[in-house]
Amino acid sequence: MADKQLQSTVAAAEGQKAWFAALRQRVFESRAPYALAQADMPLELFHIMDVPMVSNQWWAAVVSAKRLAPYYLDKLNEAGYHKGLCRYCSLSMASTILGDPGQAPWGGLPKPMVLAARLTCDCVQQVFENWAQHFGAELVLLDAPAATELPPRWWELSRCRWRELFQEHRLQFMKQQFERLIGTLARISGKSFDIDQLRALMERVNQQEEYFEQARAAICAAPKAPVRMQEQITNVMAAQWQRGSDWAVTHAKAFRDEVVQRAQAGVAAVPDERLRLMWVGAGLWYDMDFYTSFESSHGAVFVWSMYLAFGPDGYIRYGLEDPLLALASRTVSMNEQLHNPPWANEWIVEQARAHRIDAAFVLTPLGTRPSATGTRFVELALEQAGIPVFSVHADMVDARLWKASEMRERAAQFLDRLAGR
Amino acid sequence: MAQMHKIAGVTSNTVPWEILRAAGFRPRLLEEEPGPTPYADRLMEDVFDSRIRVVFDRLCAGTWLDLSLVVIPRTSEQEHKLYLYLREAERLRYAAGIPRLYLYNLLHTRTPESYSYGLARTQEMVRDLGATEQGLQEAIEESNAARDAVRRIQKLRHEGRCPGTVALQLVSGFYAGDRRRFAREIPEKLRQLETNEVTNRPRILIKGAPLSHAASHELVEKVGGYVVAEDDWRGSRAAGVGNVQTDIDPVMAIFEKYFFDEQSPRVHPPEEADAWFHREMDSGRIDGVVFYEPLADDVAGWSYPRQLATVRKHGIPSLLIREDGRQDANRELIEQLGTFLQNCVRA
Repeated sequence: MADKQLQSTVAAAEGQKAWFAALRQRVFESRAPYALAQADMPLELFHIMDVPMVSNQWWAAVVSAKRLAPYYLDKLNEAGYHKGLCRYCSLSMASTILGDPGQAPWGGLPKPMVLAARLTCDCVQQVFENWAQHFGAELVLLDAPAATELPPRWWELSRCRWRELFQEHRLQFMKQQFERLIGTLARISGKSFDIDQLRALMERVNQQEEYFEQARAAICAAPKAPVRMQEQITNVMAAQWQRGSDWAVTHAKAFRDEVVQRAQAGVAAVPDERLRLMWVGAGLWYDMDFYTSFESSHGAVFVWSMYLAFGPDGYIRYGLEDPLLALASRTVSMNEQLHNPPWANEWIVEQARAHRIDAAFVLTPLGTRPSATGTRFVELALEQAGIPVFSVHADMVDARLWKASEMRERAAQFLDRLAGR
Repeated sequence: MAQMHKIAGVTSNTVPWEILRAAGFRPRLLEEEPGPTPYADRLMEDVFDSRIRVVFDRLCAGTWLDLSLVVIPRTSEQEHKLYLYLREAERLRYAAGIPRLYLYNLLHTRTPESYSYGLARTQEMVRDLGATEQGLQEAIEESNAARDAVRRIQKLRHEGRCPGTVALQLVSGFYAGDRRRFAREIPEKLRQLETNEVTNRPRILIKGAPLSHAASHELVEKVGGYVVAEDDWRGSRAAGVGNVQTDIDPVMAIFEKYFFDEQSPRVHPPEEADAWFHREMDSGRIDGVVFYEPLADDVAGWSYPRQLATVRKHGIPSLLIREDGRQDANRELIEQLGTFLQNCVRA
C-alpha cells in the first residue's frame, strides 16, 4: 500500500477504528442495540434515533481488505449458496453466520437488533431475509419504485429542485416508509423522534458535503492531483458513514483544508503525473495497490472515483422545511444515480471533463449484479466524449477471481497505447 | 369495451391484463426467440437473462412492429433495468421505433405503504390508458374464466393425466392474448386428456429459477418422471389462488389480485413467498423435487438452503441441477435424474 500522504488519512483510519471500538464496547458491555444496514439507507435516521449503524458494504470492504473474503465466500458456497450469487452484499452476512467468527476483523460483528435495506435489486432482499432469520432479528425493508421522469443533468436539479427531480409520489412513499423505520428505531432505542434534530443534522450534512465539494474543486483546478484517489476514498467514506456528526464535519473540513493547501502550494501526489485516470465503480478492496501500480511506469494517477464526487452532487439538499422529505429525496434514487442510465453515464462524463481525465477504468463487477448494470452505457458515453476506456471485469470483494499480475500487464499495455498517441 | 386491435406487449405476469384489455389492447407476453441480439450485445451486460436480452433487442430493432405499447412492471430488477435501458436507448438515438413504454410501479413488499402506493399507481394506469369501468368488469369476467380454465389443467395434472410438458404448453395460451378463446378451448383440449390413464410415475415438482420453456420438464419426463407442478407463474401458479373479486370496486379488485396473488422475485415477507411451496410439500402428492438453480440466477439460489431443509423435513427426495435441459442433455445429468427418480417412491 502506498504511503499515506495526508495527515487526514491517518486521522480517518484512526477515527474509524476508534468508532468501531466504541461501538463494540457499547454493544458488548452496555448491551446497546445496533443495526446492520445497506449503504444507501438513510443513515441519518439511525444517528438521530441513537441506534448505531454498521454499513454492510463498509464491513464487506473491511473483510476483503483483510484478505478474508475467499475464506468466507468458500464457506457460503459450502453452505449451499452457489458460486454465481452476489458477493458484495453477502460477504458481511457470510462473515457473521459462517466459519470461525474468531477470524473476522476486529473481533467480528455482534448480533444486531435490526437489519435494514433498500431494495435496489432482487438479491439484496434475499440476503437480508436470510441474515435476519439467522439472527432472529427484526428486518426493515424499504421498497424502491422506479423513476419514470428522467430529466437530463440530474445533478443540476438535485440540490434545490429535488421535489420535481424525484417525483412527488416516490418521495411521499419513501417518507411513509421512513416513518415506519422511525417507529422501529424508537421502539428499539426508547428515544422519540425530533424533526428539528433531523433538520439540524441535515444542515450539518450539507456543510460536510460542501467541504467535499471544495476539495473536489481544488482537485479539478490543480495542475496535478494533490491527493490520490485512495486517500480521497478513505477520508470521504470515514466521514460519510457518520455523516453530519461533529467528528465527520470536522474531519471533512480538515480534509478540505489539507487538499486546498496542497493544491495552493503546488504539491502533487505524484510529481511525475502525466496521465489522469478515473475509476468507475466500487473499489477493488482486496488490491488497493492496483491504483498506484502505474504511477512510476506511466505517470498514470487515479484522480477520480465516485466516492468524493458523489458527496456534493448526491447528498446536498437545500430547502429543509420538510427534512424527512428531503432525506427521502437523498435516498430514493441513490443507487440508480451511480449505476443506471441515464443518471450514471451522463454524470460520469461530466465528471471526467471537469477532472481533465485522460482515460477511464470501468469496472463491470462479476459477482455483484446491481453494480454491474449501466456500465456499457457509461463506456459508450465516455468513448463518445473522447475518453478511452479500459474495461475491468472483476469483483470488488472476491479476490478468488482476480488475476493481479495479468490485469496489471493488460492495463500497462492500454496505458502504453495511450501514451503513444 | 374498445375494439381489440392494438397489441400491448407485457414482460411478465404482474401486468394487469384486465386493464390493458379494457383499454382496447390485446396483451401478449413478450417471449424469447432465437437469433442474434446485436443491440443487447452492445448495451446490456451479461447479468441480464436471455429473455430480457431478446426483448430489449427486438424492441430496439423495431422487429415487433405489431406492438403499440409495452408495459413493464416494477416487480423485478431485470424489468426495471429493461425499462431504463429502453428509455436511454431511445433518448440517445441508439434505437429507433421503440413502442410507447409504460412502467407499472407495482411493489411486492406486502406492507401497508406498498399497498397504498400500488393502488394509486393502478388507478393512475386505468386513467392513463383510458380503461372504462364497464370495460374492466367485462375484462375481469373474461380473465377469471381463463383462470378457471388454468385450474382445470392443474386439476388434471394432479390426477396424473396431464404431464407437465403438455400442461405448460396449454397454460402458455393464458399469456398469449385472447383469454376468452383460451377459456373456451381449454375444456375441449382437456377432454382428450381426461381419458388418459392415471400415471404411476413419480410425481416431481420443479423449483428454482424461472422457466421460459419446457426443456427441463421434457428431460424429467423422458427419463421416467411426471412433472406434476412447478413453482412458476408460467405453469402451476398462473391462475393464482383466487380470481379477481367481482363484488368490490374493479380497480381495487384488480390491484389486489396482482398485489397479493401474483408471484415475483420481490414478494416479501419470505413466508408469503414460500407459501405455495409449503402447501405443495404438505399436499402429499409430491414424490420428489428437482431444484433448478443455474449459476446465472441470483434470486432463487438464496432460498435454496432454506427450501432444501423444508424438503428434507418432509422426507421427500430432491435433486439439484444447474442446467435446464435446453443444452444437449449430457449423459451425466440423465444418469443423475434416472437414479434420482428411482429413489422417488410414489406417495
